[in-house]
Amino acid sequence: MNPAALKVHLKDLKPNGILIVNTAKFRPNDLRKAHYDSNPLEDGSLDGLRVIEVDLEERTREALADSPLDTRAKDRCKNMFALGMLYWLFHRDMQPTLDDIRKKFAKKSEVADANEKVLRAGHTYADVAGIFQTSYRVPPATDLPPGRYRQLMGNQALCLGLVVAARRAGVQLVLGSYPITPASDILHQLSSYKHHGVVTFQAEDEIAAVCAAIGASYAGKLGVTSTSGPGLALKSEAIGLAVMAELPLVVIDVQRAGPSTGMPTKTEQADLLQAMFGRNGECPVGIVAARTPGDAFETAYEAVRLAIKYMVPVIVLSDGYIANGAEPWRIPALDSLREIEVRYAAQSPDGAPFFPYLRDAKTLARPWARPGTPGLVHRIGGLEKADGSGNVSYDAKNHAHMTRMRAEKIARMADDIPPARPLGDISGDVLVLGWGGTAGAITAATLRLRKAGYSVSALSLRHLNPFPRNLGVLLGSFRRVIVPELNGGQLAMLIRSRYLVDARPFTKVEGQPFTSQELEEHVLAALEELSA
Amino acid sequence: MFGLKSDWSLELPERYFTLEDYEGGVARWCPGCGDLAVLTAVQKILRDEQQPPEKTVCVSGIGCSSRFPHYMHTYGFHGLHGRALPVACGVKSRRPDLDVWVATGDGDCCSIGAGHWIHATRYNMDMVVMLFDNAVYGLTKKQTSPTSPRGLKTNTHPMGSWLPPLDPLCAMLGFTNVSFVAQTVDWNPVHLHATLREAHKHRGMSFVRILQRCPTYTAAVFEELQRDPSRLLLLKGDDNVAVDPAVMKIFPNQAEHDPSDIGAARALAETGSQGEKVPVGILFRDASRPCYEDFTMQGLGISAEDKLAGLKRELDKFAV
Ligand SMILES: Cc1ncc(C[n+]2csc(CCOP(=O)(O)OP(=O)(O)O)c2C)c(N)n1
Repeated sequence: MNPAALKVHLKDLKPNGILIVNTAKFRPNDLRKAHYDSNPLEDGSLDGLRVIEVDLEERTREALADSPLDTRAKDRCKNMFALGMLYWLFHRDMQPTLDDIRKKFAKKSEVADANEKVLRAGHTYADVAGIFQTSYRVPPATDLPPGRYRQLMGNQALCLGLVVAARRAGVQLVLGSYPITPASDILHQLSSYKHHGVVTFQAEDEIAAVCAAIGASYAGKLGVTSTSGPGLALKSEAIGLAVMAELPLVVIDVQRAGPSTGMPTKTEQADLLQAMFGRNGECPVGIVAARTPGDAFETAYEAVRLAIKYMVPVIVLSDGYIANGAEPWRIPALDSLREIEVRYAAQSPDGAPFFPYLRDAKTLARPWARPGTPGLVHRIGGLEKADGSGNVSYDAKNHAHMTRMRAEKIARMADDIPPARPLGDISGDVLVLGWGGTAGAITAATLRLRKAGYSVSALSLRHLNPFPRNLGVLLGSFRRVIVPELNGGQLAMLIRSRYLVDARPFTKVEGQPFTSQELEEHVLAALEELSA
Repeated sequence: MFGLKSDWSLELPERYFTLEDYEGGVARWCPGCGDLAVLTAVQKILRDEQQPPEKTVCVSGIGCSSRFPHYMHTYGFHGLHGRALPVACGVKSRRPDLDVWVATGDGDCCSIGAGHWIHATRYNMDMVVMLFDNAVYGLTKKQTSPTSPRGLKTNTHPMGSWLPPLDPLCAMLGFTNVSFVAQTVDWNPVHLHATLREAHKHRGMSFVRILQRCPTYTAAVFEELQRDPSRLLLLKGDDNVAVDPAVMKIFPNQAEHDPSDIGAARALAETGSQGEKVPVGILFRDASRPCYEDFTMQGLGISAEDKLAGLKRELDKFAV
């Protein structure tokens, strides 16, 4: 750590945590640049931590005394020294990194040699110099259910979820997209999936991207569009069109810190209300959120299932943290996934006229009629329709009815999604209610508090519109509901207005995810307040 | 239509379509609106070609002219203001089997949708794009459009519009991968029909600017052109729009024009943009320009089993 990094990340350390400092970077000049008045290594501000001081520059140059590289190039290897120390600390096998170095610098053998030398030097130094009192072994994960696993990043998981769902439905996936951080990888990856029957269209802008996806859905394919917050804003008018035309559409929003261009590479969860309400008119859509990188797979799958079954747009909320985070993911058996049935409308044998807005009694979905099918010619679009016939209608009662139908379709999905199952008990002192990418930190904090004997449960929502049926009852079964979110309190606002529960927001907008410690401390304080 | 078989019996197609088979709802445009003539012309073309109604999709944006799909008894999508082309591209790129017609206004195409216009031209998907150019915003009641002539008094420019109008032909002829550009007028049904038919025959994005009377807001703009055909220049030639000699006689100014010559096309458009010698006919045509769907449909004929096997391989990648 140099002083600037120390300043930003110090709060992430638990008491008694290990801090490795590069003393070469704690000269008066460095301290001034990071706005330190005194040297934190000397003024006691790091008390309570296990501080390991290493002069990385000196040690690296030492290790490379015989190397032909110049000093600047040598200094660039110092991260390897730190990595070597960590390898020793955690007893990990260095081979993958050694292989990577060889691969990366295949054409520069002296650079590869230097990096390898420094990596090994760091490892030896940690061992011989006895700077750490202990080393750690992280046992292989044993609490994971048996199965085949692979490493999966959030954006990859979204892609695979979409592809598998489209395949299950037997419908071609058509992605219309425009590059934007941190969603671009979805467009990149799906562009390489032509052999899976996926087609991608890099459109001239976000509006064209979503409109082409809508055109594809109208033509009988599964239209999907991927973006981040600024792009979702541009797509909002067209999402309303899909709501009105009652066509399936999956919209992926990999959220980043906003507003406006904001901090493109930093994470945030501040698009929930945009997804919920960010369109003109009464314009409900389904909303699901990915909770972890691996969970993004099922979330995308679920979005496709709901979009097709109910003939509606479904927005998938992910975020920068999930997008680029990775976790071991159990490869699902393809036939274990829920069925997705596509039923295109067919001409009635007796030649009866076609009613494009005749609804399924249960789901209220209208029929999906593909152009090219004889006997089903019809016109749709953004103008209000008469229910049943689909003819343009400005009739007052009909508009009220159709507005209700569009809302009711979304509401009825609640019968089709699993009930919320909290981690822990279904009643008690505190329920920590989260959604999306905060799931990991919430789970860790809750497990620790429960181990310490506290009455705390946690729930991380995947379904945000509609909410699971039993959510209201659950919320009412706890003395306190705490809603941690990386925004100004958006889910808390929805919960409070919907269920009249005094849900307490706990918010953070620093472009960084929650740490489990800060959640733990916050919940602990609430528990103390409750017991007082 | 009807064929005579070798045994002299008549071959009757299973389905024969009359004009009514293409007629949708009753058109609710103003009396004298040029849009009506275009509607009739398109219905006639489909009838002449015996195109099954279910094979045609009409896509539009928002505007008076964008109501077009509702008046056709075909598949239709009446989308968003400015976004007719992206929706049409979404349909066509995935369903090359369908016959796509786009109806768009001068505000829809050349203002709010101008970005899409440039790119749709470059994608060059096989469709007919009809620009209903009435030089004004009709539906929203007389605001200046990008193609409004200088001096036109509108609700947004009560003293008269002062910017030089955007000329859609000059613009089109500058866009990359342009493959078909024509101009016609709504008040000459023969030329209108013949031009749209040529557009329909062309493989690629066929752009037809239709000078379209709006009797309510811009009657004066077109009255003069209509009254004085010498302001028009009829483009003729082996590869151009062929019309009846009786109709040709109406045009005092005629010129031979080879539509493969883009330089000549640009010169004609430039002169026409000054309001004199407004060209009617095909300005440019190049059937060899690449079409988007030719590339994107390649390699998609994968069997279901192969897809499943591929998917399993993909899921197993990096498995431990
Ligand atoms: C996003 C959006 N902005 C503005 C409008 C209002 N609007 C509808 S049609 C139109 C212009 C119509 O002019 P044009 O495209 O030339 O078609 P015309 O009515 O003349 O046929 C406008 C501004 C709209 N419907 N949507």
